[in-house]
Amino acid sequence: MITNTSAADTRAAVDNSPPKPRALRPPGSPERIDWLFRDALRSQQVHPLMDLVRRYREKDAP
Amino acid sequence: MSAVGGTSRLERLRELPSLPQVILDLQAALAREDVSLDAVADAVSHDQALAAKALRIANCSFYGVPTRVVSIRQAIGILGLRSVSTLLVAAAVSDRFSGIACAGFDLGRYWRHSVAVALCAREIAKLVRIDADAAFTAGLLHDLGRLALASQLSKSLERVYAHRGARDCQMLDAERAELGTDHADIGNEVGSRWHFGTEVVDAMRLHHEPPASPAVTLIDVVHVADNIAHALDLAHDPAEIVPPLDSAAWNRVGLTPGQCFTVFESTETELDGLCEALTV
Repeated sequence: MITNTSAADTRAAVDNSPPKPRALRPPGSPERIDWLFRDALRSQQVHPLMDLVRRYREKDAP
Repeated sequence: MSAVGGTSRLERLRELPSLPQVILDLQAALAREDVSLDAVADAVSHDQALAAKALRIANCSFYGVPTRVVSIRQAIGILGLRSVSTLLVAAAVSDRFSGIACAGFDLGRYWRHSVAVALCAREIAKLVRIDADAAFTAGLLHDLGRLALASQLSKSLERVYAHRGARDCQMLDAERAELGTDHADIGNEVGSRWHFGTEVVDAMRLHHEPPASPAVTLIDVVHVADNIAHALDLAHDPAEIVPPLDSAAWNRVGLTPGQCFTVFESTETELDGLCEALTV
């Protein structure tokens, strides 16, 4: 399965604050990508697609 | 947990509407590789609703046919029998499951995700040199078990959605907790009954847990495509959550970052047109 991760990649895993309203996580935003990968982040693992999707979305960003 | 008993589950699945006989015959003939093009064209043409839907899909931009396709025989000539078989299956399955009432289950999102996985699997299959048509079919049907659950065991699936909502967990885990089974297992039963072929049924059964293999498999391709479709957020599901990625399968598929971006882009580009043709 997916590999262990660095502390920087687990920021969402230790964030126990209430989920953000949907308006604060627009499609393709960094917040939305963190939300999509929350299962991996919670378990402090790196999902290989997370960085790829982030780079892909950044390319499209204005 | 209140599992769905094996016998009662099977009884409910047996009540699942069958696919048109022409589709079942076509699946069986394709598996034996003794199919007659004329026989298929004639048989499908007798089912006007199915033929009309299949032609609408054949004419969408995804297939890139330069002239308007007006008959199944012409579609087979241009697209090939296996591609036409896939679009006939897609048309038949979407027809059979058009009126589902299950709280939490969104049929539009279901098809959008399935089409995204089909497109993505097809692109990956081309890159890793395995059968792209089989990858498209397996991707389109990979979650069929969930559709069967929504249709035949809707109250059970509603409990699954409630479980997931309360715990914010993976759907697969919620299914196993609430039903004692999961959509991959149910998909295996339905796919076998509908003669989808061993390779496609295996991809339906194992797409969350690809087995070890010395070389890349169709299961690996569907597993990675499913992950990508979730990661790109293509179904617009507010509760979307990317499933675990099997690192061995990911490595067997072996996409470079550049290939990944190409797959992402082509999947997103084709998605709307094919969804429209399939589900309208």
